Formats: sequence, C-alpha cells, structure tokens
Amino acid sequence: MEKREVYPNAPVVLVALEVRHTTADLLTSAQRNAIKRRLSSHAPIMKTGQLQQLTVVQAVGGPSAAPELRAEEFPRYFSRDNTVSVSLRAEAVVVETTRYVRWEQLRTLVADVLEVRQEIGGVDGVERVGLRYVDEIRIPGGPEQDWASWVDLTLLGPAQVSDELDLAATQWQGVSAFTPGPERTVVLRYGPREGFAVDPGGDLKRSTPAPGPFFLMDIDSFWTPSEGVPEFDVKALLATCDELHAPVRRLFERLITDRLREEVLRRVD
Amino acid sequence: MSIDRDQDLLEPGTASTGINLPPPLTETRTVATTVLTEDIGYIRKRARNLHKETGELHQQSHYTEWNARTNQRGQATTQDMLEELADLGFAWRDLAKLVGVSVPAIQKWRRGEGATGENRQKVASLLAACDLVAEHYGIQEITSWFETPMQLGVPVTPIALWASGRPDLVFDFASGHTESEQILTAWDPQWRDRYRSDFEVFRAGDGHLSIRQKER
Amino acid sequence: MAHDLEYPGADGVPDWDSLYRARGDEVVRHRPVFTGDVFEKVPVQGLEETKTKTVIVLQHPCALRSNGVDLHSRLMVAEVRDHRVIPLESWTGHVSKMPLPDLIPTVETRRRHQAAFFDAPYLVRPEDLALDKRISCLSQTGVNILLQRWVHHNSRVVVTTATYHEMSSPVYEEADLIEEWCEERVRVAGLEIQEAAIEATKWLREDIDSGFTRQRMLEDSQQRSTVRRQMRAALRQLG
Repeated sequence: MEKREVYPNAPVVLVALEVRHTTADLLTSAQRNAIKRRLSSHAPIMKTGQLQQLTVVQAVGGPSAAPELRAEEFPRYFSRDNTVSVSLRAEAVVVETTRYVRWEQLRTLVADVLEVRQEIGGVDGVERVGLRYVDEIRIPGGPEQDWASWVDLTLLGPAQVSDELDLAATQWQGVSAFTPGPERTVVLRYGPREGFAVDPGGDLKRSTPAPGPFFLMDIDSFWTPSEGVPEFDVKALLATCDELHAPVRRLFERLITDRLREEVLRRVD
Repeated sequence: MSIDRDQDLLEPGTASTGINLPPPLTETRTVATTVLTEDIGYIRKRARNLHKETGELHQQSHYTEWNARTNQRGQATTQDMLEELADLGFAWRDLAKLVGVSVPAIQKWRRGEGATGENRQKVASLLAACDLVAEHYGIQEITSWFETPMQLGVPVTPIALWASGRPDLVFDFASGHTESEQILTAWDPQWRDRYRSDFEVFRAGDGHLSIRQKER
Repeated sequence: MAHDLEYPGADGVPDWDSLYRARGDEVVRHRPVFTGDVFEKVPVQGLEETKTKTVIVLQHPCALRSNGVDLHSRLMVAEVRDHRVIPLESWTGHVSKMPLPDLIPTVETRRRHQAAFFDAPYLVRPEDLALDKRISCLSQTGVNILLQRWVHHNSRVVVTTATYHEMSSPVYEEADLIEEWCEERVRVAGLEIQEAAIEATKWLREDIDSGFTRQRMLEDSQQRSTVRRQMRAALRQLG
C-alpha cells in the first residue's frame, strides 16, 4: 500500500464515486433484498430514494416548452452511523462517504458494490466514472485569516493585486480543468466561501462546525469514453478508479502551504 | 432581518446578451449529500432560476440561512451576544456547554474579556440558530425548548445534541419532520438501554425530591 | 444494559474537565457552598488529635442548609489526597473513592491528581469551610458522579447519574442563580455576600401564587428559563 499521510484534522468532508451507465431495468424487491444481504457488512440499512428531475427546453428566440418532471425511485443502503451511502439508480451507481480515511478503504467498498451490481440486475455499459473530493479548509483563527498563508498563490487569482490596487477582493470562484491522460479530466473548483460546501442537512451525517468562512477545494476526477460504450467490467472499473484517484492527492498537496499542514491539518484537538 | 440569498457572482452581468458563455463542465453527482456549489456554472444557475419560476420543488436548505444569520449576529461583541442569550433565559453553564468552553471562560467574556474568533463564531452561530428555530418553526420559548427532554423519561435535550456537535439533529427536531425516537437513535443507538432505570424521582414527605425503586 | 458506576466522558474517551465547574482562581466566593466543593486546610477532628486536611463536601444538596441560607451545624466531608489517575476502565472499581483527576491542573507534580476517600469521613463545622480556601467546585456532571459513588459505597446500590441529575438539578440550578444574584448585588450595591444570598433566597422562595414559589418552578425544566429571565429583570429593577 502506498504510504500517504492521514491528517488528524483532514479538511475532506465528502468523497463521492459515481459510475454512470446505460439505463438498467428497475431492481425488483427480491433483488434489492439480495443486494442488502451482500452489502450488510458495509451498509446494512436499506431505504428508498426518490429523485425528481425537471427538464426545461428553451428554444432560441422562442417561448420555452412546458417543463417535464420525471420521478425516479431506487434503493439506497446506509451504514449504521449514517456516514456511508450506496445508491443504485437506474443509470448510476453512487457511493458517498462523509467519513473518508484513505482510498484503499473506500476502494474495498466500491469493489463490493460494483460486483454486486454486476451480478444482480446487470448493467450493459459504462458512460462515465467520476471520483470527487470536497474539502472545506477552515482556519481556527476565525474570519480574519489571510488565505495566502494557507493555500497556494495560484488559487488566489486576481485577489493577489488587492493591496496594490486598493480594491479589496472579498469573493472569487475558480474552475480549472486538467487533462492527466486520454479520456480523463480533473476539474478543480475553488475559492473562499461561507457556511458549508456540503449541506449538513443531507442524509449523511457530517461534522458540522459553526458556519463561517472556509476555502473550498472541490476536486472532481472523471473519465468518459471517447468511443463507444465500454462493458461494465468490475476489474476494469476499479483500475479506472485507481487512475482517477492518483492525481487527486498530488493536486491537493501541491495547492496547500506547509503552514496549513503543520498548524491545521496535523493539529490534534 | 433580511437575508440576501441571491448574491451570485456568476450572474450574466452587464449587457451580457451576445456574450458567449464558457462551456459547461460535467460533474460527478451525489445522491445522499448536496454539494452547495450552485453558484458555479452559468447553465446550472439559469436552470435554478427557471426552477424557481415554475414553483419550488425542494425546500432550500436552512444551512445557507444559518450561515447568513451567523455572519450578521457575529458583528456584535461576544459580551453583547451572551447578554442576549441570557435574556432569552439560557443558564451560563448551559451556554458554556453549548459553546464547548468552561463556565469561567463564559464569565470572563461577560466581563468584556476577548474570546477567540472561533469561539465568537460559535456564540454567533448559537444565537443565529435560536433566531432561525424560533422564526421558522414557531417555537416561542426557545430556551425552554432547548432545555426540555425530547422524550419523556429520557434526559436528552437539544442542548445535549448541540453540545455533541449535532446541530443537524437539533434543526431536525425543531422542524418536527422526524420523530424524536429516530433523532435519539441517530444520536445514540443505545439510548433506550442507557436511560432505562429501576429507580425514579418522587417528592418525599419532607417536600424534597428523592429517589426510590420503581414499582415492578 | 446492566448499569454500573459511570465515568466522565463518552464512548471510552475520558473528559476529566467535565467533572469541574471551577478550579483554583476560577472559584468565586459568591457561589454558595455545595456538594462536591473541595476546601483546603480544614480543621478536622481525628481519633487522637485535630489536623488540617483537604476535604470534599459529601452532604447531599438538599441536606446542606437548615433554612435555605445557613449551613447545618455539622457537615459531612471526606478527605481528599493525592492519587494517581484512575483509568476509565477502572472507574467501575475503586469503589471507596471519588477520583478527582486534574483537580489542580496548574501543577505537574503528584498534587495535580487527587481522590476523595470515602473511608476517611469527618464532620466539620460550616465556619471551618472558609470560602477563600475553596479550591474547586464540581459541575453538575461531577456532582452526579460523586453522589452515585458515595451512595454505592454506603449501600452497594447503583443508581444512574441520570436519576441523580433529575433529582438534584433544581438545587444545582438554585445555587447557580444565587451565585449570579450575589455577584451582581455585591458588585452593584456593595452588599456582603451573606446579605445578598439571603436576598436571593427570599426572592426564590417568595409565594407568587398560593404557596407556589420560583424555587418550585425550578423543578420543572420547562420553567427554569422563565425564572432566570425574571431574576435578570428583578436585578435590573433593584439597580
């Protein structure tokens, strides 16, 4: 196992893995229960999820069509402490955790989920695989911190010229897309924010500090096939997930300062 | 108190008709969690506005509001915020528990000594939560609500939930959407066993509260 | 779940600080003497001679005072001595003691951690409990654990701290209110602590409705905040 430091005060609040696939048949009640038994060591609590999708089509220069509302019902599986969730939608498998420690642990769960999905119900092809890390970097000093001390200057954008121009930069939002390899993209969304990046009112329990300023680093590493629709093969998918994971930590480490590491991430309360 | 919910850096802007938008970037989607990055992405913002025009299908998370109120409340001094909480009827020892400090620390702040930015934020967030709960869920005696056990015979109060870092459960309880038993289970799966007792408190002949074994 | 003696903390993680309301310089003179208070240099009558010891008040919260203000003429206390930290898993044992880890957090010597020894009880006079010799006041959690252990030592019966909390929280609340009243009245009106304490007790026990008093309201958790608000208003009126 590659040795990567696990920070006692890591800023990651959510890690999500999504495998989008061709539309599969709805899972029957018997299939859902079979999946529940197979996933019981990870996520023994089964619930039903519902999503409503609103589609609006607006023609250029013309009136918009009546919006279409579609409801989808699907099984969801939760850990007892509500920090892990597995959702099996008609066209996606989504694994989420708010208690991420290291990739190898999440990978074990993902492997079990993908295997059971392939065996029960079946999926024909894969359209996208995404691995997303959402970090809320919070500094204990309160709202008066200067972000330049804590994150790389490249994340501060034009805010760096604030003093020079006597223009106080109070907000900025950035999106950068990187291409680590064929068919792969890493999108970094970043910037200072207030409150929370991941809603504490969601179905997964997450640590909920007092709302206040934080620096967002939302790293979304994904793969989309350039040709055709590859088979839903667990081994291949796990290899893809490993490739998606590889640049994430490197990017995060490069974009934070030693001061953040020492004074915040390695802090033990 | 007005709260500006629609501040958005990525509105199309001045005279923007005809200015090309950047291409959208796909996103890894979540189900059990909501990632609040709705202000990134022109296309998503436009979809959100249209969504609102056709009618609200989802209730906006009150966490956004809690954050905004915390910022507003945080403009006062810690001393003033504490006095306001005391005027609501909070005990100093409960405030200490809610903020995660000692009673002497609270007493120092009452005398005007400074609190760290982090602690000031915690006091502001508590006051903001009181505002939010009272306003949205019609709870009139907010301190009494915080101090009252959530279930008869179980000495767990919203103070205990908040102090253990579960404001989400406090807001849930306030909303009334979740049964108190479910909330207690989410907080402590063993609560039924933990608080089962063979003894009960009663008023003795001398008028004082006393303890006796329960009748079987 | 079979109940046993409890520890300060949760889920196997100790929280020694949660035992205390105030220690050392944090202890204020305005706070009425209460169960769990630790006093230094208290004269106690041994079998042979009088000695001075550090002691903890064991008297039950409801049995401390004869008239709400004056302490009883004899109060039960137990000796407090240096003692190594008792680990969490051993708090179900050491049944003749009340551990007081980090009682004196400002020192690194053996004095830092102490324990009350239930097999070394004494009776003392209230005038020997000098307020300037009080070095610690327990929190509500600390008082609940002390009561649980003291009763268990004498009877081998385990009663949950939640039950003690239900029983003693009105009295603890009263002590908090009297402390606040005294602090305000001493500071603003220059009263002596005893005078202010009498004033506070009178206000709490005032008949407000056919024998119903604010003191009785404190027994209902839903009404405590009302009493606190009324007290703040009353203090403002007194000026």
